[in-house]
Amino acid sequence: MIDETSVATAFFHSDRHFEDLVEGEHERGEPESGAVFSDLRKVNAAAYFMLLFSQFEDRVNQLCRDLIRRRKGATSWEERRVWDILDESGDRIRTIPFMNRAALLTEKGASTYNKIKELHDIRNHLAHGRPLLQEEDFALRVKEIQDIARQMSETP
Amino acid sequence: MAFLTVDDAEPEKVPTAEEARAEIEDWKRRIAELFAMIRSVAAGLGGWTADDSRTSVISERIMQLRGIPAYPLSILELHGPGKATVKFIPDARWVSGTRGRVMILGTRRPARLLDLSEGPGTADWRLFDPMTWQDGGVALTAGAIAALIGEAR
Repeated sequence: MIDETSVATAFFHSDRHFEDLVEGEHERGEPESGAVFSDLRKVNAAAYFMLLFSQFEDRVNQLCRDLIRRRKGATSWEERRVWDILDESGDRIRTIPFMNRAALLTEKGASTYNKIKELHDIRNHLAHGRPLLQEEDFALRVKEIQDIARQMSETP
Repeated sequence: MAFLTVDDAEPEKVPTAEEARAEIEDWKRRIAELFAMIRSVAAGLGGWTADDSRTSVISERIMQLRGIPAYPLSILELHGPGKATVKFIPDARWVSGTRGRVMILGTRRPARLLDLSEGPGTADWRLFDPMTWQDGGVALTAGAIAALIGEAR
């Protein structure tokens, strides 16, 4: 796993490089070429978002596995019966829809859950090649994901 | 405020054309104030001149959805000793979680400005770079601007 700080730093440099290319083309009076680099800048930002979200999903999976295993270990059947029907082994954790996995780690409908939903919606938009209504800024999103991951890891 | 449904995602709030136009006017005002502040700091450093004669053309998805035509917005270029040039380029008004983004070119640090203000009438420009993003950026004071200009390549 690549740490978020390195991902963010790489993004800052590459995003500015693309903006430099856009500006260079405009300065030379080549707006069409500038528009091409502007589109590539969006692709670059989307790629970084997907990398970050993939790592976030991996962390969600690991936290869910740990939680399910702990709860399945309860001695009382009344306590473990709901957890017994979940299969957390290996990639089987992915059979639980992503937002349900998120709901195991944070209260459904609460602000953290809603933030995860927002990030998941952005991920789906980008994965399906749909344009976003607003630009995303990675500087804010990396911090947000770090904070959410920290909160989820404190789930009892 | 109207709503746009995009496939399986939650409906996204889209400003009406009237709201979007008002936001653009507010964004232009905030950019003008920001550039005036930067020019003032640069003038105090000595050896730097400012030029905002070039423009970038802004056309965002919300504008396209509301039939608002693209518009030009000034780029602020600071020219310093030697061939040092620092550029402040208004990038987008609609950036999630912000009220606008300005890209900065020509400095050692890859930096950007994000306006984190709550609503129209005010501005809270914060400087984000690889060293400050984890703290939510740093406030754009005269000192922060001077330090940035001092890094011109």
